Amino acid sequence: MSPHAEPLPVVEPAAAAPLDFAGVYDAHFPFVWRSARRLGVAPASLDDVVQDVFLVVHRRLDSFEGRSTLKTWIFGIALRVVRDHRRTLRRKPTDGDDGLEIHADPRANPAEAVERAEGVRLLHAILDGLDDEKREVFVMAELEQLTAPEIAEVCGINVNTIYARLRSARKEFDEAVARHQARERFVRPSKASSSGEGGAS
Amino acid sequence: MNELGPAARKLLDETRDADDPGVADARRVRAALFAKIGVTAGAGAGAALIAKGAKAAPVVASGALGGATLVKIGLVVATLGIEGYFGLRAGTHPSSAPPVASISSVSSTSSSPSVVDSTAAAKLVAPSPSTSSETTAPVVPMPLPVAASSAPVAVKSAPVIAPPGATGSTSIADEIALIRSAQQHLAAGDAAAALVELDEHAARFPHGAMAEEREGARLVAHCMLGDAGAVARAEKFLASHGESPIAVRVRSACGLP
Repeated sequence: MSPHAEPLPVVEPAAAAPLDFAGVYDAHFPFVWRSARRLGVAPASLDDVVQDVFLVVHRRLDSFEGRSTLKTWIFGIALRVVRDHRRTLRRKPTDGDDGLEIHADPRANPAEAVERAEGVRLLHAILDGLDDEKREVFVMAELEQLTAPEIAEVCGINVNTIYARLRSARKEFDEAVARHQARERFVRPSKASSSGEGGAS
Repeated sequence: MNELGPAARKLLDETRDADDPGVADARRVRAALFAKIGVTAGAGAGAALIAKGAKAAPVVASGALGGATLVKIGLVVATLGIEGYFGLRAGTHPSSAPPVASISSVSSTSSSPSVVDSTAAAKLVAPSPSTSSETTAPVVPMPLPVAASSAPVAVKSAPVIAPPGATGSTSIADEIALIRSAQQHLAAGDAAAALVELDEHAARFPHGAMAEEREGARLVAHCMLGDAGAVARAEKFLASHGESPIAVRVRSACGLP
């Protein structure tokens, strides 16, 4: 599903009516789930983190004022919960969660499924290589299509800082993809040449 | 601003929906969450969720999925207790989920034994009668929530071990336990002890989910102590969090309109 397919309800303060938590949850669960994953939450912890996010949403929904989109507001909560989760993990030994989740797409043939799984693994490996600040901005901008002002609001920092982080994150992402392609050409020359994209800019 | 190169863009396009939840994920998380918060979900809601976002593709080798949900039973009781304590449901913020019904629902769920994080449970003890009576002191006029007295299920003496993968919920539970402990000190009129708990929360969770509640409670404590500048800080806090659920509490303690 494309992230663009989700509704982005904007609640005008003047017309604000009590929001139904179940409706809010249903509309935003997929994006909270995938965003938490892309922000570095391992599969084994996803259930807990996503539930934590919505526990906070449930607790604070009445105080949502409609100054931002609901998606941006929820993303702000998700970001704080994920950051806290990361800090907790850094204080504690690993729980053995290797994050090696492989999605099988029934629409694809086996070869395509393997290639897709490799792509997903590469995406997460590159995201893991970004520092937290760049990763957050990159995920919000490139994967969730939030605008720089929206990201600035979520993070509570200057929009120029967002632009700087995004620029740096894109550069690192490009370089990581280029390194991966170079390794692929070395290890599997036939595959690399057949898939030969233009490379990183 | 620089744009991504074609190879990077291709990778993003190909994996854009790769992290969407599966149908099983959607059902599992929804059922667990809604059971805890006591929200009655319509039968069609799950189907709508699936149609909106959850993909039908099965997930292979997804690993051991969070086994920490049991720990959150105590967490939810504490969360609802905090809401009630701060007067969240006291009138300024109409709720779509009646608090008593929610608390009742959660409490009944909480009757499951040996599922509460031991650290959190130790701090989720319902206030003693003497503590409750102190909550009516003029300086702390907000009534204790029903949850505080109806949540004995959170007090389990049996040792409880958080399952692997419970780090997220344990962290939130720890946060709530600290904030709740601070509130209990405030209710007992011991602002200094409350500040100790709040300082610990600030040290452990500087940007935690309960940071706003922490700062509100800190202002309440300083106003109780009559600290110079506390009222001014409260005014500043209210300027940016005037609609916050804790604003009423801060206004009351600091004598602000």
